[in-house]
Amino acid sequence: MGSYIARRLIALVPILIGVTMVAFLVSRGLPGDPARLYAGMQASEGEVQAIRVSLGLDKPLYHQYWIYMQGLIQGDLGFSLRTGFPVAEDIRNRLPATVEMVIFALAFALSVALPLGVWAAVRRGKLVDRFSRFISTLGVAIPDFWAALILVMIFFVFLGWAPAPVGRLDLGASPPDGTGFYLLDSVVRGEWGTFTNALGHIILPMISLGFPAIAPITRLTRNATLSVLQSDYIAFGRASGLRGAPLYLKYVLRNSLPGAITMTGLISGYMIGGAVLIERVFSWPGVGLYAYNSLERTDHAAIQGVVLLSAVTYLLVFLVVDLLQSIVDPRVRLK
Amino acid sequence: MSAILELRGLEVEIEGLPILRGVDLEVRPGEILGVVGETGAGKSMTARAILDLLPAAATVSFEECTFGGTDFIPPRARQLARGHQIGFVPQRPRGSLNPVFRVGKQIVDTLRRLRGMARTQAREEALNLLRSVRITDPERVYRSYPHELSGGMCQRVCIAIALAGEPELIIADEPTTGLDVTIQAEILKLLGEVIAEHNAAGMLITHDLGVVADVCDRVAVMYAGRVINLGTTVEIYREALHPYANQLVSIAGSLDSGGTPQEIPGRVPNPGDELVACAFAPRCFRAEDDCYGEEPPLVHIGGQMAFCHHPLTSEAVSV
Ligand SMILES: Nc1ncnc2c1ncn2[C@@H]1O[C@H](COP(=O)(O)OP(=O)(O)OP(=O)(O)O)[C@@H](O)[C@H]1O
Ligand code: SF4
Ligand SMILES: [Mg+2]
Repeated sequence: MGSYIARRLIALVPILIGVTMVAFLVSRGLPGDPARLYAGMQASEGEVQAIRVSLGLDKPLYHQYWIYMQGLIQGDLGFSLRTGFPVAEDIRNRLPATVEMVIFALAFALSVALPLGVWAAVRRGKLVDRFSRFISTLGVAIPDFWAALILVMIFFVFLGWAPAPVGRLDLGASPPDGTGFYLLDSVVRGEWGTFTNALGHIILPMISLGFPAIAPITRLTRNATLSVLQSDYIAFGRASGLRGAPLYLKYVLRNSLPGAITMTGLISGYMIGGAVLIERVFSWPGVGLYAYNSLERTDHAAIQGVVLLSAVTYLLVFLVVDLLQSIVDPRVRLK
Repeated sequence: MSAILELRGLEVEIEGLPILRGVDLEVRPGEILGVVGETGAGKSMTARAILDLLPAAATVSFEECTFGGTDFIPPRARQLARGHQIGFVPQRPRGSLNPVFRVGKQIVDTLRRLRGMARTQAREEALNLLRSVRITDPERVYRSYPHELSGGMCQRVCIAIALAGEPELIIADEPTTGLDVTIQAEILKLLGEVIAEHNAAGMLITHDLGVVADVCDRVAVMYAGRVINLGTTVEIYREALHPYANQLVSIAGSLDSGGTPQEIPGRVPNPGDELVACAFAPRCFRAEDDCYGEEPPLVHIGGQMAFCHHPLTSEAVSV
């Protein structure tokens, strides 16, 4: 498996070079002049031009790309004009917030979708099945940021159960030291007050981001389970006394998983890059919000960095999906 | 001798179609009962009814169903018997093992479920079971996935799983179809041996009468959802009372001696077909008017029982 992973990673290099070109061209093609935005509206044309030269924006595109690539090879993603920090550092500071939210959203979606999919198949045409179809329709019909707004309305504004949507902790609370994954860090350091605080803040974003993922995973699991239930091995398992939770959640579900794994991979890749609107609603200091703000300011280096991050995430997710498939089903060969 | 499994008047309907129309049979301790009949006769449905594994659309009723003296009519009793009192050996062994778990794990899970064993103890017992089905390298098979094993090897594993709960009865539904001919004989021999070694009884479903002659003590012959003739293997082969059973046996015999394949003229009725009083009458060479008008009576001669107006008694056969 080790050499397989190595080969897959090496194969990623040319793809990533292509991605850098696309990211570079996309950021240059955006409307807005970064030098002007950086210098401010009051600055004279001469000052702006000076900044343009100092940023290298006066050089031909291929030359700018060359400079960018030289930095990239050394792990330098450039400076963000907006924040004034290296892009790599900005991303490192924001990535844990997004990843933590995505992990929770996926865990939430899977813990609902997998049992629901199996259950709907077992009770095909019955109430649960119809309920699962209703949930699916709802998930497709309601965009995630819209769900987020509704949840904030209900649980913060009316009921007051949820904390204000102002980030990962209450205003004024200080984050735990460590990896940037607040829930993990607070557990490791035994800071239970911080832990419950962070948990309270992550619940609504988790549901908003996870809810639309429930529909496709449930449907795939249900359909796969329908054919698994017809199989000889389930018939024999039943005849050998297998029933109830071990039958459905182990012997059936394990065989229904491949479709759900691929779908979850696609969704998680999308979530890392695309949680923009959810992060806006909850002022969640993650990569999505960073991307949004960078776009607004035509912040070349930051945009390139985020595009590259999404691409790497997608490619790694596909690798993980393939590895998981081979673990779940021993007949799948890695080659 | 009191029977271990006794069935009277088993009826099964699926979507209004009668599939089983009153099956009567009994399995006695220590014996292997063969169940034969052309395709569609209801052999598999009978086995599935005993384990409460009928399709969801089926309705089932019994006049009587007892297992070792306990009432087996409540579905719950039949469900709880799966694996415990009754072991099941399937038809397509390769597809019958779960493809994503190692063979050893599947046996261990079965032992933990059926006998409440701890993990380490179950592991030891799983290896013993693999040895008891004459697997010479149990460690390797234990670690294998089903797709890494041959069909015959998978069937040995299935038999091991069927034995895991120390059942009193093993039901095998065409356990050798799809296997190589040489392997078929080995598996049947093994099945006969392990049933004897575990002091269990067997119910062997097949349409191969040669198989029956080799392993079964008694035979039940099914036709159109009923057992129409039941007797010892010798009786059924030498002097079956029922004309249908008689013809099945003589066709099998002529095949064995290299004759051209023959068939009983006419067609097996499908569920839902209009049936006359004796379902076999349209194909029967002994049919007379009463066969069309009146239910055939139950006749007992020697150890045999048959539903027939004009059974082939030994005098009749010699005519
Ligand atoms: N799921 C089902 N729904 C409706 N009818 C069925 C179903 N399964 C089987 N049948 C019908 O029930 C009857 C008995 O089937 P069964 O499988 O018991 O036959 P069998 O004696 O085992 O035959 P074979 O030798 O082909 O295995 C057949 O006519 C068959 O068409
Ligand atoms: S009852 Fe009549 S038709 Fe039926 S098997 Fe006997 S002789 Fe033939
Ligand atoms: Mg059958």
